[in-house]
Amino acid sequence: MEVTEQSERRTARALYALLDLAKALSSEIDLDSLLKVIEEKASSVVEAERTNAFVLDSARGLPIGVAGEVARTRSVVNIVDAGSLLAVPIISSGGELLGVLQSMNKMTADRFDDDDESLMMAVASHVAVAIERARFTALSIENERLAAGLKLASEIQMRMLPSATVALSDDSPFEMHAYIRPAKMVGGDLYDFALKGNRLYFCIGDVSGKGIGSALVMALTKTLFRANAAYYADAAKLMEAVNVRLYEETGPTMFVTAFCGFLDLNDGMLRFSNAGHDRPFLLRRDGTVELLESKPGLALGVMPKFRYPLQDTTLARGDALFLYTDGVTEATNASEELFTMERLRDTLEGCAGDSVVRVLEKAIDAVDGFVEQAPQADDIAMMCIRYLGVRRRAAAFDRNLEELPRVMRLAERLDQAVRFPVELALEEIFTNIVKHNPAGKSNIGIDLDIIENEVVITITDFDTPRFDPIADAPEVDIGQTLENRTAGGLGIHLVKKMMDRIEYSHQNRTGTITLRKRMN
Amino acid sequence: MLDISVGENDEIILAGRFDAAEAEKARQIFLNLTDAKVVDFARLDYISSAGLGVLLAAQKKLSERGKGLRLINVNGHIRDVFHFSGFDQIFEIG
Repeated sequence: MEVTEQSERRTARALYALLDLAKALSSEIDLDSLLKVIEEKASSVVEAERTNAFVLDSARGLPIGVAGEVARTRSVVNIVDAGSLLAVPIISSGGELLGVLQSMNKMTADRFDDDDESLMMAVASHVAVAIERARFTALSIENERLAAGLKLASEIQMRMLPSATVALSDDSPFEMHAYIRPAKMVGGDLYDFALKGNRLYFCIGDVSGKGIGSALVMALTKTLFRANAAYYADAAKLMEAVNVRLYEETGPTMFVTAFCGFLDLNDGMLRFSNAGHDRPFLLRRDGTVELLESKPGLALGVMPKFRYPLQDTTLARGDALFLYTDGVTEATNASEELFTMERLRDTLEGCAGDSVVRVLEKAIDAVDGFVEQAPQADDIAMMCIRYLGVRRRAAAFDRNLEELPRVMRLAERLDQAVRFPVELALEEIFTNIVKHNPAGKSNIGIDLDIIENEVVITITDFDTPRFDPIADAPEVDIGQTLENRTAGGLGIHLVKKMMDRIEYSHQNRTGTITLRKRMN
Repeated sequence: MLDISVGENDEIILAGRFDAAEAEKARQIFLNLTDAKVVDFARLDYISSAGLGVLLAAQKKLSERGKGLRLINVNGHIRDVFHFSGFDQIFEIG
């Protein structure tokens, strides 16, 4: 009787302890904290002195001794040796061995009995669920952390690239736009550019491979280009400097193709160097498309002492350079067909008169329209730079013919075709003002702007009575005989012939003449 | 800058820019001419009404003696200037 009561009391206590364990397990998700709870609660369930939970770890292999035997045989061991010992396997619902639960030294008896075995098996099944849950939680936290890390890496990488849409003033001597779309969260394509005085430095590059490794080399390459571009004004020297460092810093299988250049914004002179990169296209102002002939140097990071060739070409006002990575031409549709350089060229030939932003939009649309639903296999990068030239020059001049050479300098950057008529107009109007209003107390201001396809010259005399050189100039009869010809009015006559439009306005002693001349 | 020199066949060679800043220097030379002259424009980059004025004065003076200037190698924009001003009618060009 007494024995039964004792036994019932014990069973009830064990069940409470088991419930307590289950409750504790459900609130613990960290594996290490979980093991502590298991060891403490399991001991009270089977009245053991202490309990150890061995969780199998693929890195460490099976435990030794009794626990090892339990792991191997997946069966219960209940023995009395130096003390009593009860060990049970922890097996998941899917049948996977997760570990071994081992209690030592039954405190209320010499050995663990059948009830203890049953209780330990019950504990082990709770522990299995808890371990699986902890592992799953840890895995999903890790995944989340990885995803968040990758998202951050992607953001950092995008931030490394200068903003693709460059806000430029109306009279900027160039316009440019860049686009990049990695195939994965992070990519190996890069571009860079910076304005250095009157020169625009730019580069585009493609790191071999894809994924995190390429992304790290991309970051390194971009940094090397930017840092060295501050020191070198020579595209070939810049390539050489980046190449040496890339060779030192990257493994033998990693390489980078790149194209870099410096565009002189005063005269359109483009000096460039190519390191195994796809040749850029030249988009001429008239809409024709050419490949920029360039010697393909070796890709960066392959050979430490490679001499990269320096080449040059001149961009006329309105000409643009289109650079891209092979993710564009090798974009693949569902039928495994490549976009190809020919399709890219066709697309660019349909971009006459488009802004650089529009050119990239059309190119991206063409690639996407071709690829349709097929997944993007490689990173895509494009950059378009259009040379516009110095579009606004302005200066103030003394009321003196000795200023003429300075006045002429306003026109020095113009294309040959318009330079002559513009110089003639500047000279004739300026000398006209100096001769007719020598007493004026102000400077004479001259602005030369290029607006769209037109040169607009504004000449302002800030201290003058109303004098319209065009309306007030004597008529010239070009049919007159030599004896009757005079030089009077000849200058204004030529200006009228050579300019497309002339306007005069006068207000508060300020007279302004505006002349316009179309460029081709 | 306007450079004025005499060629192998006694022709006047103009090189550079014949503008208002240079016209006075040229005037001294052209108004002292007493005989027919060939003027080579091949290396002349620019001419304005100031330059035309000098040539007109010289031509008028020479014509009083029944002589004149013959202009050769008049090309491009300078030819336009002669055309727009009607000077291609009062000079022998070619």
